[in-house]
Amino acid sequence: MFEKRKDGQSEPEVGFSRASGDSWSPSENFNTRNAAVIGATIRIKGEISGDENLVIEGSVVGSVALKGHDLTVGQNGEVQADLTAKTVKVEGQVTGDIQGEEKVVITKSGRVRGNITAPRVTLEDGAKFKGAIDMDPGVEKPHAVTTTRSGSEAASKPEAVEEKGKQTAG
Amino acid sequence: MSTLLRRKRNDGSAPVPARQTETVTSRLLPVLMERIESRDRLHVLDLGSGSQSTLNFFAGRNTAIHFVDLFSADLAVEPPDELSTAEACEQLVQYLRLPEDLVFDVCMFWDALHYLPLAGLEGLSRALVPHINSRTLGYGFGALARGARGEERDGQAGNQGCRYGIEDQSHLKLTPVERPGRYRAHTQQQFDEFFPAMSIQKATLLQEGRLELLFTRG
Repeated sequence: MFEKRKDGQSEPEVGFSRASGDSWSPSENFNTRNAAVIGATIRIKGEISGDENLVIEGSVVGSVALKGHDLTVGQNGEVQADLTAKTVKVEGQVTGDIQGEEKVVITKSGRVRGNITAPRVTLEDGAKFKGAIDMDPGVEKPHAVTTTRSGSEAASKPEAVEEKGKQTAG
Repeated sequence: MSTLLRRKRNDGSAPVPARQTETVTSRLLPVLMERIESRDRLHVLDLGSGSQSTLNFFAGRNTAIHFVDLFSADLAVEPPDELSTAEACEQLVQYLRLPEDLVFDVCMFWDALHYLPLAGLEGLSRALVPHINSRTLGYGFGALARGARGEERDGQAGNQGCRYGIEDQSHLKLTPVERPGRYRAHTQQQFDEFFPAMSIQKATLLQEGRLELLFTRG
């Protein structure tokens, strides 16, 4: 189910590709080397947690928690889940709240519907985002989303996420 | 630094900026910012698609920004021929999906209101009422119904609009984008009638019949 990306390894068959002209490179802030990969044809419903980096190119419904690690939703990725990771990069589609301990990046191909909590948020030109971004300079990372969430669970909690089983990355 | 929105479309519709990203000076943005300067925490509604410069601008403050791209709403892109205000309101409430108890300090309308038909404008007004109060300020753009030469400023074709971001206290960043919807150039009289939630408190005339608008609670 999960593929390992190794240094020097060719791109996986199922859909992990980086668009030309992408302003981001793995060497900057996100580490997809040796990351577990959920391939484009994989569908997962449930909770995903782990202690390594993860790239999602398939479909995930539920939740993803990778504290201290990097999470990338690739261009083919379709996620209906709350995401927690050190850094979160979205190139595909996400419906759910995103909590980045350090940073959240929505690239030009990214589509996000949900709330973002992170010390730093990057919206590349062309990125589609609907939801709330809470920034409180008085709070150490990650910033609390208190007021935003309390009123409404805002723009887009995943609807009727059925959690079946628990899947651990790696 | 260029002046705001300087080029006019050859179809007589709303003026548009040059086709490259540029930073422009705003006259009313400083007024708005001065009025909210003392507020501890800000809730900002941005009816655009999200802007890094806006994020950067508010990053130093205790702020929650709600981005809802009204330009992409069905009501803006392809409104039905017959639409009641109640229907429009219901659609927009669903589209906005705002927290029930959330009240905004600032609503950045940009050009978005002009992409709604009048029923949609009135529907948005109703949808926003629970989320604004006497302290809420609005900011956006308008266009005179007719240009200096008498041409209609109501675009008929696909629109070359722009994405707006706040560069600093008195400057905006404009990035040209294609808008699939139709720009309707609502007049101040139409705002008074169909957007009663807020009223225009200040308007500054810009080039090409363009208006910069500051709204307060109606």
